[in-house]
Amino acid sequence: MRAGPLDGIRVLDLTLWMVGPWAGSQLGALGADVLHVEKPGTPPEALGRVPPTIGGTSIGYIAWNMNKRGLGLDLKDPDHVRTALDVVEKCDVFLSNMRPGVVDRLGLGYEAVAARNPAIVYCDVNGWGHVGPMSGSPGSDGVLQGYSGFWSLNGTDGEFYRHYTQLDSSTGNLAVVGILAALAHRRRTGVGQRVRISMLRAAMALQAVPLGLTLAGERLGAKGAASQLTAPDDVFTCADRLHLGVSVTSEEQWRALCGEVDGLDRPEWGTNEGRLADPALAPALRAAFAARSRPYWLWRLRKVGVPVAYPLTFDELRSHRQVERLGQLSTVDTHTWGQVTTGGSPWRFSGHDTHWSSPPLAGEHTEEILKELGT
Amino acid sequence: MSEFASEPSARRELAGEPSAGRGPLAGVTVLQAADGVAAPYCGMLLADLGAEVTVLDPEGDRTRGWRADGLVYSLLNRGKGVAEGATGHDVVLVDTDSLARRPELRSHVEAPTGISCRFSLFGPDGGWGDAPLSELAAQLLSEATSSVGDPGHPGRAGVDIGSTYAGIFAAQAICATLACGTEPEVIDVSTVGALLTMRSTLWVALSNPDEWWGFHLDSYTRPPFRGYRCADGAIYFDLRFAASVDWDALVTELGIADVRDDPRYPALLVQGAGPTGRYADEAREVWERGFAGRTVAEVTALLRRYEGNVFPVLEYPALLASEQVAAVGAVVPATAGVPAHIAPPWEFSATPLEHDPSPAP
Repeated sequence: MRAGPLDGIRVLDLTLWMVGPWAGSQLGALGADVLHVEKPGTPPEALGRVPPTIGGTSIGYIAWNMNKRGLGLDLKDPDHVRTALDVVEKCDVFLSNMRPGVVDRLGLGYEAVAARNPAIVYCDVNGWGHVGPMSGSPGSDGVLQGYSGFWSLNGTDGEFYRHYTQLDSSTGNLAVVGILAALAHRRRTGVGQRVRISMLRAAMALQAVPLGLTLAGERLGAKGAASQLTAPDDVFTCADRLHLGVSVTSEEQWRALCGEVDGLDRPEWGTNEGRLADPALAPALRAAFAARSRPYWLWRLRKVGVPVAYPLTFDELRSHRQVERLGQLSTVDTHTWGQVTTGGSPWRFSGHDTHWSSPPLAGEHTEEILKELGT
Repeated sequence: MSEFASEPSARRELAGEPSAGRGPLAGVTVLQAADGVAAPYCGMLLADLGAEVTVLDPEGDRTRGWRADGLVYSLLNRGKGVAEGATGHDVVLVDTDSLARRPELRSHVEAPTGISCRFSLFGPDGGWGDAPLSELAAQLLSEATSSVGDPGHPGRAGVDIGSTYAGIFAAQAICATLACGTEPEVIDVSTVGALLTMRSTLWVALSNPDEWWGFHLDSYTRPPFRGYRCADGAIYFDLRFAASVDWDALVTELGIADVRDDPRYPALLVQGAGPTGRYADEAREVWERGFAGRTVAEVTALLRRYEGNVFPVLEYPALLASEQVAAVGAVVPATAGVPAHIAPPWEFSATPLEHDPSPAP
């Protein structure tokens, strides 16, 4: 088995809920040795609070703490804080997502940690940023979906995305980018540093294009399954009553579509903006696609290079040949929760492997970690 | 650790010389040889982090045509330059579309000399290997559309999440390789794969749960949720984790004390206080009856007295006008040739970003 690209990097993970734990699990999947801190003796049923549970443990804890080892420390105990500082001397990354000021009060603020390990990359994540009237407020995925406008473009009238993890995990993902960019800089200079990111800033970065359009004066709104950016780019119902997604993202693809569907070659539809603006386009396409079966359209449109797709279900994805080829949907043998399937790695490296492993129990590896580190 | 194999700029920077530029990736050179959203969004992140990103054939970028003024293109490609050639870069961004159009780019994935990152819809090979990239296709194929709209009818996340997530994951992999890599590397990221990873919590929830209940399992059954209506807007709130709520006092203050006659009370309100609760849909009408006639500010103040986690539900103009967004400096005003845009999300203590991008090439 080949090592991950971050083999040799060690992370002290003082995280809770999703944003921080998810970031740590990504670093672990990339090969880092991630030491996840929980209070010693915390029973499995008290690890996380998000339903449902598997074997009594929140699926939140299980899903977001894979690829780590468990280090038991009670950070309200000064002796354990001293141990944490001993451990951090042997780490490359310090990761925390407590509210501003909390980690400082525990004695593990940036200054304290950098005093013991100046080369550390210290990342702290919070909900709203370190300044401003909301800086001390708690953040969560649902809250940020609402506040950042993420909900407003979804569905037919604007609605929350019902998988309440997208902005949590986006923040964690962007935190990982910041951490790894800082490690790349440290590789060249030996200089460690502090990296900060908030859920609000991450949510806005994710929406850079629609927010940029709004700043320029466009008023965007939910459009069902249609795109904000291109047209036609929507879901249609075919003669066999099956759904078909058709996207035209270039004029070349538009001309190809015009070659397959009669009556589209009209001058007012000759530009993307013209197509986006004209309400007559969608009915014309609905009628055209409703006249033939989905297999017909898939075959014809794929052949001429127009992007087409159809909705897959969980069960279809589990056994999908292309998913297997991508190596996604990893099934992990956990020692406590049986076999658990996760989305798996989004990256494939030509020279490295990525790995998904069981989340730890609280403090499961404390003894071996402290022995390895000589603390 | 040794540096990347043969490229001059990679040798120079990765051998450990301090970089004089701005941002942690100053000195890293990136060729962006793909258009659309995924690769350019990745390139934007790398440019924001200080890398020198140049675009191959910027005139041919399809996103120029997405708005008459080229605004989408300008937003995604600010801070980048024009590539003078397709070789000699530390990092190369390609996608399956650009590889099909430009055979000369294939050497970057067949015999890489640095880091090559290849984007695809659903993998670069196999039955879907030649499928063109499409945000809608990615959302459909990953079943991400089941989390929006009416159950049974594919909806769509209005933000291009498949493309942007793929861009972020690619930036992770590139930075990981810059931080620790020793050999040329080809990295593959697909937009379907990015969405599958982002739905990991759902997949774990489906792994033999103790009980088939919990909001991570609700995508297929819940109706759309648009926040709790108040007199002048909507809020998102929950009381699920409040340590001790005087429920009788709360329902009395809200004027919905009659709910105590409902045999489902207090489970209805306790487990329906927020959109992720067990009885969220059943309880919504009750809460909204209590909020009717009160402003968002009034309801927020009231619920916070009961340990409520309460925030307004905003559309973009209100977000952009908010005091918190101004305080954190998330919006960069327009300058000559560069439209107003969202600032990079990170703060670095030793390598500040000093964000002042040049116009898109």
